[in-house]
Amino acid sequence: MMKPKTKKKIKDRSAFIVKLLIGILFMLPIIIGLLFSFQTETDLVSYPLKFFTANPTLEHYISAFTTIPILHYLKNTLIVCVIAITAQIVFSSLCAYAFVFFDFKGKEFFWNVVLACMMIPGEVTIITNYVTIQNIGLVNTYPGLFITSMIGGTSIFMMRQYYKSLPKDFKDAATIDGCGELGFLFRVATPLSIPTISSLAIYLFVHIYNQFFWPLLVANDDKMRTIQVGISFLVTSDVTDYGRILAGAMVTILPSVLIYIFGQDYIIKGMTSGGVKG
Amino acid sequence: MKKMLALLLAAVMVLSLVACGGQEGSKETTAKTPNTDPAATTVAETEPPRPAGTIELVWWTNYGEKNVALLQTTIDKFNESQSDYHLTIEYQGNANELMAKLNATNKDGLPDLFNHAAQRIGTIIDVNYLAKLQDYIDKDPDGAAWTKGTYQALIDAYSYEGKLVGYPNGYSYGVVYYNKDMFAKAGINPADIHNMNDLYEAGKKLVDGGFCKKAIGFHPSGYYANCMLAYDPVDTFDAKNGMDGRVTKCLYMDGGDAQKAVTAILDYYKKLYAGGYGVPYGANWNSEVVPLIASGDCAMGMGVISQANNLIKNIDGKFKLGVLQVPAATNGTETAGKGAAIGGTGIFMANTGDYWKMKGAYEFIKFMAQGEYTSNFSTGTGYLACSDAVYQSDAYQTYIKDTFPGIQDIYDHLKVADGSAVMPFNGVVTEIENQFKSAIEKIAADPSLDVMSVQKTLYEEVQDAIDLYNASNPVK
Repeated sequence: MMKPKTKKKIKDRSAFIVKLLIGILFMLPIIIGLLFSFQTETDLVSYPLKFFTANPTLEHYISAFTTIPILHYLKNTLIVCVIAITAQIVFSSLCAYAFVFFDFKGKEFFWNVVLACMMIPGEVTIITNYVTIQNIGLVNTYPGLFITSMIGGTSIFMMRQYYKSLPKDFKDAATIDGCGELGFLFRVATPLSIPTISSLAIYLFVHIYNQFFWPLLVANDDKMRTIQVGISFLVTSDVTDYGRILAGAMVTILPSVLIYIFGQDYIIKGMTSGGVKG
Repeated sequence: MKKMLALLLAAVMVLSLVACGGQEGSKETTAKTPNTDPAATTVAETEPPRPAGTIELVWWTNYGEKNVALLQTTIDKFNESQSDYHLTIEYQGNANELMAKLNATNKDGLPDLFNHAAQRIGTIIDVNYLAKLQDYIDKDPDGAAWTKGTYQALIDAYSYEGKLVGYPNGYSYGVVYYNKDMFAKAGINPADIHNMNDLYEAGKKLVDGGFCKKAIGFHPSGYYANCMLAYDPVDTFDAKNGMDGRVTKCLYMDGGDAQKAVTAILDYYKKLYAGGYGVPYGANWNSEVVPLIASGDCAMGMGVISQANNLIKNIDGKFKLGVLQVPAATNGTETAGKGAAIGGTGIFMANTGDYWKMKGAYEFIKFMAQGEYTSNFSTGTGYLACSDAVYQSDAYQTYIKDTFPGIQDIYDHLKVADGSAVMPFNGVVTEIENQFKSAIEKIAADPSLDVMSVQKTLYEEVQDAIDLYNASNPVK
């Protein structure tokens, strides 16, 4: 009969292999893209396609970097991301704090408004927002690119859920120690919410970084383009240079992947912290 | 609370609509509303004073980097040729994204020129951001002399009520590429392929005779079905396919020639896939169909002419490539296949309301029509020459001789083509193409399906799209 220790070992290893296979399955498109981006054009149009090539090349990466100003597009994207994320964190923290720690008339009603906003798909409001942006003269500007991402229902929701999980004793203790509302927010609540804020920032980064249609509408000029729009310029309907497109796509996803890799602990902590009662 | 919330949301919606309406006359939005007077000219009667300096012009395109690089050569030559105007080309996403942007852009934010698919001109004829080219031709002391030599099929396709609305800059064409050597070995004369049944028989002979594994692969699009119907030629919509007014009825189930033609198309795919002769419909053209043709495993490919250069590159001299136009749906009439169905992309002037900018846009279109400046675009992309001037240019003749001798067959046809191939002209061409593609996908995936039931669904979907379009765009 198998020892319980051995049984557990086999179970753990089997679970690991299953998880590994699932992980590889999810990663497969990126792995294929990465492998193909190093293949020559001849290899890429050969039939059947091969995962590995005997003649790896960097020609597609060189071509992508020399054809379009990828670094400039990345700079624009990062400017938009940093401003929009900072604004969302500040606004949503303040808003969520009010919802949790203040009692005011219409609190439930306004909370419902926030929830309702979360339920309206972005596509529904995008044209209306674009018309508004044109009317206030923000087309082809950085504010035009980030203004609609400066506040969001999801951020307020996430921060509220976290503040609700904070033990009431913390607030009482802070008040006894002489902390006012702002003191409690900045000295106690905010430092404790770093995992949630980090998780929110990562979520927002991926969301804003991957925006396509909004920056396409707002930025006419190539100088104002973000990376997602810039990279699509490499695609022409009748002529397809797969190697270069894949190379561009690999460069484009790199920041998102790095942010996820380095921030994965925060994502898990942030996502679960709201559900833990003190 | 729920009532209050609903009221608040309604109020927010009303306020946002008011806010977005614009406050100044110059900020008129160009949302896709029909022109109140389609005959109204966009050319000012009196010439306003010309602003000092060079006037900046902008061209919004859906072309990607490779095609823009080719167009840039023409633009540079235009900018160098005079100092009154300076043109810049700006990429604005794919064709649908570009249209969405144009539809939502204020009049003073519009570009001076924009691209639009030739076979979908019907979708922009009603919008008020389009300035009709003919209005400028009529005011031009030289008249339409610069359009002389442009293929009549293109002039017809870019005209509405006898007036030019735009000008072609990339002439695409629905074709069947074929392995000339294989056809010769099998004893098939491509000139005998007139309709879809002929195409099926040729493919069957090639596969059954062991010349190849698959008869044909497809660039999956409903565009080709519209070409087949145009070549019959048969009107599939009322008002002469939309050329005589607003389309209200789809004729796919009318019990007449249109119904028979649509059935013939769907029946072709049913037979093809039931016999296992076709490369799976929906296979990627560039990564799956092209390599099969290039390796000789597949004898034919239905695509557009602008895909020729990539195909030639992959074939790499292994065999001769031939090309014939997409066959007619049936062999119903004597005129079958005598027209020239169009495709590709045209250049259009936007109604910005700025006299000098619009004049500059017109000057550029005139400049671009000269063969010596645009032949590089045709040779670089594989698009057909739009005019005899481009065709006769040294660069293009060299392209035919050295790169693609087979294309001469298409030009021989174009020289004698009449105006009988009329593509549907209405605001829902995109939906028609999508629905046709979906119908073919269904039949190809399951050839046991009843053609008539698939055709009925196709008809209902297209009719719904027409009804919806007419309800939301009433004729004023």
